[in-house]
Amino acid sequence: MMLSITPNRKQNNNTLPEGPPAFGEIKRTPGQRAARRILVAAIWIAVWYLAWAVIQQEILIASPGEVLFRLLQLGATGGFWVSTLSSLLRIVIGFLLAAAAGCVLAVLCHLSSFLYDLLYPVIRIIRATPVASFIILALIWLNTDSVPVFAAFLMVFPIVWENVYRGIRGTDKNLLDMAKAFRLKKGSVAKNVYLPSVMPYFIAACNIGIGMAWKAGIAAEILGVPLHSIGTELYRAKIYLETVDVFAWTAVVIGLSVVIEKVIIGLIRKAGEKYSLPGQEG
Amino acid sequence: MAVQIKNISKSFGEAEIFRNFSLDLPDSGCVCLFGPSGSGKTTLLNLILDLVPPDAGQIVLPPGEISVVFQEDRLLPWASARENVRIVLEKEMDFQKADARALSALKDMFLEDCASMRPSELSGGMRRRVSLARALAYGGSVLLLDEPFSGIDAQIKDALFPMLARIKKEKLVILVTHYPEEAVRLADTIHVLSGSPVRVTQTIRLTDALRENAGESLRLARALTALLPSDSQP
Repeated sequence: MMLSITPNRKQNNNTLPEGPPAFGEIKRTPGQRAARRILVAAIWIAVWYLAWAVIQQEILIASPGEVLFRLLQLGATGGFWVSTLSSLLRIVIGFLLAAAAGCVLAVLCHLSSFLYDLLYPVIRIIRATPVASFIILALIWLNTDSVPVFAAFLMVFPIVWENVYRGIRGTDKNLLDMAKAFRLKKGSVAKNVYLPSVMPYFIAACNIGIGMAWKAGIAAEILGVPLHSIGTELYRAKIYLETVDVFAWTAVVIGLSVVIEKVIIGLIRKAGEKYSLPGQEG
Repeated sequence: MAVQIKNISKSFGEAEIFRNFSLDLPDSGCVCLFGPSGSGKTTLLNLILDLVPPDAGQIVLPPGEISVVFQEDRLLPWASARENVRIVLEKEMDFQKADARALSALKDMFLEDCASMRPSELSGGMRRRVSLARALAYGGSVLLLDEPFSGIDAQIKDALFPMLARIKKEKLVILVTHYPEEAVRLADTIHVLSGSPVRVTQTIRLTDALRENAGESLRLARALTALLPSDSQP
């Protein structure tokens, strides 16, 4: 079975009486939510601090304060921004190429069952192969700057392809019959029937894919060590046993992962807003 | 003849729905296909619409478009009522004209205040009326209506019947229903379908004089009801 991400297609249950909130669905005000998040973050930072205080070996674990200080130091240097933006650019390019290729090939596979049969084993192989194997192969085939793009692409492409394909195949046959009966043009069917049906599947794929692209891209940078990249900085920090730097760059990776997830998914959701149904999240 | 159904055979797996079924329908007027659930009425409409191919036989259609109200509303859930109507018109006319005609069709269905609402925000009867608005705005030489009034309030139904009575003078309206009252009020000819494979067991011609006679209409409606099995009676 291949992994697929099922979009959240909650039904509009406005007409149902409100029962007790399910686990994890307790309604809170935005202020309460923010306070809860701050509390959770504070608890985990305290755990981190305690671990540092108990272990007391800077080579194994850095303190939160040191990491914050190092982050501020790094942020003041031009090299930090060059590395960060270079990594960001490579991974976003890989993600966008995969999203585009996944969509185009899903449409073509819908049109040609032979192409689907042809592509299916390739997708299976991509999914079953550890990303590190592809990165090593890519280091032989490509220049080091392209390897993170390739790694991000390989992570995202199968997810987008499969989800979009499922979205197309899952399009309501009744609506397609309606389009046929009213002799809608192909472009109109694509825009008004297929696209809205596929959108939740595409957003779900992007939601998962962007995080995977980011992790695979950074891993590729660590193995490939391109001139300017977060992965290269992490690799250097590891070589020189600069644990504080490893923690600081890892914090950058996590922070950026959250930011790009929010930005890219936000943009896709905005584009697909017209097609979202009441109570449906992407 | 506007629609000629010639020796149609159609099976779904083991179930044989039609065997050498033939029926000629006129250029205009309302022909009602009446029968219990599962008597092949909707399949016949799908064959006319070319949504399912016949196993054998042929259907000859008049030139021009065929418009339809499906048994289910089949509205785009992400589009407003106005967009749902407009989308089927955009092929024939520019956006402005299509939009104006869509709004006018919704007005005819007393839905002008709901034009910007999506199907999920409308009641079942309102969705049915959007579906009717779409079919009527689309035009064409044949109008297929599959249980078009289900869920629509009696008062609104009463207002819609005269409109359909006008339309049937200009084109062929094929009404599928298992409600005898609707059949008697609208149809000029009622073909009663039943059996397996399906055949026309009875053909009833109606006149305006019969319709205007309340007693006769009621008697006919009762007779039609008696033709339905008890679990199919409305």
